[in-house]
Amino acid sequence: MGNLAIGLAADCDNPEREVQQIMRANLPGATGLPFVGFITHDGKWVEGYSGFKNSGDFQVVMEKADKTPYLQASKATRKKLAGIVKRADKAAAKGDWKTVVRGAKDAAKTTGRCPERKQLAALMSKAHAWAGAELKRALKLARTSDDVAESRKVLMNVKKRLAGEPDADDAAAGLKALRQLAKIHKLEAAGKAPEGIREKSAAKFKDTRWAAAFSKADADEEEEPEEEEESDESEIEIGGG
Amino acid sequence: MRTSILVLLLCGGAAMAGNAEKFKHPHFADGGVIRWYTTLAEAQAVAKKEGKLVFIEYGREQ
Repeated sequence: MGNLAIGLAADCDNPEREVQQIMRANLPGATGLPFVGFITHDGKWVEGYSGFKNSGDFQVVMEKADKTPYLQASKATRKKLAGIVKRADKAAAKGDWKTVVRGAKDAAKTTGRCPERKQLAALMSKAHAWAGAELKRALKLARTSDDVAESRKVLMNVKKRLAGEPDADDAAAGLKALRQLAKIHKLEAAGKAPEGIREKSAAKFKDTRWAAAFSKADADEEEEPEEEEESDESEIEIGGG
Repeated sequence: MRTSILVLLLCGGAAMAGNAEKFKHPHFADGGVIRWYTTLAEAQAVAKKEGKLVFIEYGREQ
């Protein structure tokens, strides 16, 4: 239901005039509450009814609404999205996620359902999977090296390529953690690190993956098993672009 | 009246994660199955942006 519509809770005792008009015009003579209707964003009536419906009958109404041609992308939109998908697909093959993200943003300016939009969503999933793997790699590098340079490089790359996406925010948080970690490395090398500095620094990043950056690990330490189902990251080319 | 719509919505799809509190129905808890607004203009603007329909539930609390 959430994928189909946005809800409007209208109080029949104090309705907006336009809502009242829509319901009266499309459910003439209706008396039994509630009045229920699916309309388009620009007010075109799609489906509706008044009074009680059991779940099976409601499902039928919902399915009819879901099939409305009003939700389908126009030919012009599909053509535009096809071009975006073509470019994004080529870019994804090279690991050029920046182009994929840019394409997704352009596509978001259009409306309407179509296969091209799904294809673009699939490419974005790959971009997120790549970013997730890179963020994980950056954390491992931070924990196993006394130099944050390599980890920083990885995070900068994620931040740049996934700009505007949550992965970029995650990378930015990681960069902040790395700045603190670099200070700790310097203090430790000089034998001037205050007791508990790593724990205190980790606390600042509580509830993020970056809290772990402050606890050292061996390079060959086994990673904890993933809680979530793994995507097909192994098929995704890393680097390039 | 509201209760019957709640049951139907829960049959209609899984609850969405997050933001359920912000966009809850003014009179009943549907567990975030759908985001609710109380003005037509708001609902239409979001529906336009997301390529969705507006589901109007026109009734009263009891």
